[in-house]
Amino acid sequence: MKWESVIGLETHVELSTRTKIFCGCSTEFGGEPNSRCCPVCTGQPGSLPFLNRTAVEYAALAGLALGCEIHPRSIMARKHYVYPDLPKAYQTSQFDKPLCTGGGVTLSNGRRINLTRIHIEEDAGKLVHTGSEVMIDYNRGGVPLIEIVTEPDFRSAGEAVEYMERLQTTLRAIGVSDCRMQEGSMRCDVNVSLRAPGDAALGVRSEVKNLNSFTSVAAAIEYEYGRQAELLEAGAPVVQDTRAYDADSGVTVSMRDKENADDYRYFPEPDIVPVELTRGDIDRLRGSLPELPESKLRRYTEALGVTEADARLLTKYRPVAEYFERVAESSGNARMAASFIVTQMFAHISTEAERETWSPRADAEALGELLGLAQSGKISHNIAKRVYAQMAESGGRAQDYLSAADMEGVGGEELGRLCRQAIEENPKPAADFLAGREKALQSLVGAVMRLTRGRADAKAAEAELRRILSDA
Amino acid sequence: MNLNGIRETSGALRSGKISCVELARAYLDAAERRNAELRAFVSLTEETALAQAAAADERLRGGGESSELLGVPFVLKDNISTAGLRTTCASRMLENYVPIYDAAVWELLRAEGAVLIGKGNMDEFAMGSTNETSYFGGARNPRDTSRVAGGSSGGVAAAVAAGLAVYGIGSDTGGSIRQPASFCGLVGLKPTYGAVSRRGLIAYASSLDQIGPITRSARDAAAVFDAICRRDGLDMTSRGREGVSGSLTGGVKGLRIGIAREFFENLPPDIDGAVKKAAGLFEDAGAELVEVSFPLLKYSLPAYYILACAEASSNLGRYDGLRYGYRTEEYSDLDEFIRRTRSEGFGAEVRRRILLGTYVLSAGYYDAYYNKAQKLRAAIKNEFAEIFTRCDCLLTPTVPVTALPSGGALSPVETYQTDICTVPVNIVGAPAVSAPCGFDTDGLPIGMQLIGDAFREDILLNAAFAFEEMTERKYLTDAALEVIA
Amino acid sequence: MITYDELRKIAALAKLSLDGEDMAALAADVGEIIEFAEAVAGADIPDAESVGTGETYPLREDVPGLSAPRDDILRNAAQSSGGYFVAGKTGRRLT
Repeated sequence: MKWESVIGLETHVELSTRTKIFCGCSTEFGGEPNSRCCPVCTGQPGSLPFLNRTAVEYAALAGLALGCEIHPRSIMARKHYVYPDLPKAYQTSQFDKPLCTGGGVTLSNGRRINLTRIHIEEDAGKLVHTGSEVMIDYNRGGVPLIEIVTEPDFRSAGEAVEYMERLQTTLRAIGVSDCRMQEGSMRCDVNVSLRAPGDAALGVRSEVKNLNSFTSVAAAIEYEYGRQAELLEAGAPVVQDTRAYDADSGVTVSMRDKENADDYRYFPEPDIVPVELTRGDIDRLRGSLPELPESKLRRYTEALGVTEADARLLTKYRPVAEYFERVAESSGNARMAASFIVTQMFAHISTEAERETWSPRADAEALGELLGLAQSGKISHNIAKRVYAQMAESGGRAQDYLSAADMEGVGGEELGRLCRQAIEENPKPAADFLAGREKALQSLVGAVMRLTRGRADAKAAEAELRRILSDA
Repeated sequence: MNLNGIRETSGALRSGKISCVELARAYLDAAERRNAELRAFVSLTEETALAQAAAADERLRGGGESSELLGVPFVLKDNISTAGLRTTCASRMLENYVPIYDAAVWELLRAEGAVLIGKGNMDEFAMGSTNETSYFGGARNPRDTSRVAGGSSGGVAAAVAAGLAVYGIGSDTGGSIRQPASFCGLVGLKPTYGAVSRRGLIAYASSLDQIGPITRSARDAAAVFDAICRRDGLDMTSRGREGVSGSLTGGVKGLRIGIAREFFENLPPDIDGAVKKAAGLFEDAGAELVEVSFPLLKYSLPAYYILACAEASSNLGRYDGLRYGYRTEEYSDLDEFIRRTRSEGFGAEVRRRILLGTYVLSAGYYDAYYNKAQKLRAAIKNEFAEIFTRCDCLLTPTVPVTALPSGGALSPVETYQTDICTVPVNIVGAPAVSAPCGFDTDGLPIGMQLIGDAFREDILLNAAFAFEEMTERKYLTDAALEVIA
Repeated sequence: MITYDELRKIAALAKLSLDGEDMAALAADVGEIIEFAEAVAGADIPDAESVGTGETYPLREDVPGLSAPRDDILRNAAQSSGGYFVAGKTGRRLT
């Protein structure tokens, strides 16, 4: 029997404020243990929180970008649990009156993922376990977080990953978080339950905590699907529990025993006055939002004629999109610029971190100029690639690397002569082509390119070869 | 030379009759002499006091404008954070805790040149009405050392009443300034919630806690209040206000004083009589007595204990032995470490209140207790708002008893009942003053309480001042230190 | 009243050990307090919205301030090492 999986996500995202949510300590990643701490973020007796305005505004911006309703009055609350990484024995969060509710994301398959809420809270410290001891560092304690909670609207791991990617793209684009999963500034908990297709009721769910890569999100969902399906098929009950995913073994394991069931005892945080935003504040924030990746994608495909696949890659990383727009403008051909950037440049930067902070050596305007030359036929595509490689190595402009011969190109009679020479020197592919093997023509194009040292335009050479051979 | 209040002390220092250092020395010596008997102080802060006194002498020599508090010795309750000076909350949990930062109120007073003599004894974590929950043994009442000084700011009151400090700073969550002031024949001001920063006040119940002065007169209370009432950029709930000293005219003509019958039910006759006599004197001086009613009084006490204990259970969760405070040595895992640390570090009353607070917040009980108490809080606020449309202040007894004998056999709930008149004030965040207004048959002080609308400390202190004038200060404690210059 | 089981559950949440407690006395004390608090549960009051102060409170600007020196942060900790607070997983056991 094929089960339907019902999946909900709770994503934690650290906001990129300069200071912590309740004190002036720096939020910078790393640092000597407990070096970015004060009485407030280590919970010293008598210390009081003072809410960071920018944290509230960033949370509201995230809500606006995801189509949420922003509430002019929301309430901070204390969520109680005891763990050494939580210095006050409660996490200051929001409970029944969060900042944002509603909103959602539409996936590429057209399915809508609804958000329940987005609320503000503080991050906990970091624990380092040794054999007999737990070492505690509160540098991350008090870094502002938002928790983005979805309805159980996902039906596959792929949907969950696409949603995560979209969140990442959007939150980076509006500048409220760097969403680096490897540094823990974006992480998520998944709720998974199974049901028979057509059932309206939800099955018993398990929650897998603290997944810190897209791969783990997908793998944990797949694992839970398998585990729960096996139980259900054996007629055994699925127990509602909280689980941890181990990336090395690829399995999830139960984290808590039932005896210590959570009871968070939420109540309104008396040390923090209600969080108030006026309509004017909310309108000002809405007005400050930059173009969101989704509308950028539509603009690239609809107005600029970029292919959807290229547009998705380009809009994913803000520096890449910005670079593309400059190249597109100075080259006069956005589609070509997009294709060139995706195939020639983007393919060579493989890590997420490099893509997030992309800053190519080749100046955008110089590249645009180069592509403009290729576009107008003044140089061949191959020469453009060669020059780009030189620019990427040493900077500078196209002229610095173009010889008179490059600029001449190879055309007319010369191209005809060289094509004939290539056919004579390579009788086998010529014969194969005539016998109907279309692919053999590419080997002749290659021969022409070698003869011209890349100056010829491949498309023109292919057309000339085809003409000569079909006349023969 | 009998240096009674702040003005007299400041005058003697300014006239050069005595230096700040000589005065500090005299107070320190007296405190040292009498502390074993009174247990008013958890710690004496000799080094700090003498350094501050020397600096104050320097400032006086330099001339120029300076505060009336300059060079005047005072006592700070031991739940107020003093960097480098042990701050214990009278708990085994914090017996050796030395804060790394200063409370806002201590910063302000230090800037005025105040001289800190010591840290006042208190009920453990401010939870108690008799001082007897102090880990160090409760402060005794200087009037009669077989009786308690009251709680929770009992050590502060005992020190001021015994003349071991000119004034004191306490904290009041459900009456902890007013009740010991009443037991010791002093003036105690619980300011409007938010008037004084709570930064550095080790929290008992954050939405109820407020810092205020315990003094020998209304005038002194106004002077200290003016020095500490500030908006603090590091306490989100602090609001601050203008000073009130200028409002003490002594005139009460036309003042509408509300009398709510509910506060006078089941009172001992001498307390009932003393407060009603005070009402009569106000009326004779031109005030108007207005009959009002406060039917929700009967719910105030249980609602208060629910809210206070809920917040306490949360605020005291941080004492786990990892970052500061007591830690147990015998345990087999981290959970047991934390639980044993807390059970060994906290006294019985603190543990009881944590258990109650956890209970009323826990799933299944939250709506019946915590949520209901919050609704009552809102309803009580509304009732107060209505009352203050009809009068300028309320007059009530401060406590339905006078100073209790030490070691009394009251059960926890019987002890809670004595807070009946003071807790509504904290629930609504209003200001209130307790001022001495008579003596019971044993000669123990009786306090009356004046409750005002938010930020009307001026009305309350002026009424208390007027009463002192019309009774020729005969109910005020005059046990100041004799200093031979 | 409160049962021993409830008391144990609450103590576990409150992170209090009941070792060495006189359970009967504690249950009686806490039970008496709960009974006293029950007056509230039974109170018949209309739903009242708490009135705000009508004041606006400023939030903190996102400007870095000074963190405390690490030695200060760790000063009151009974155990620290290499800049970390340290919690032992096991201690001296009662024998």
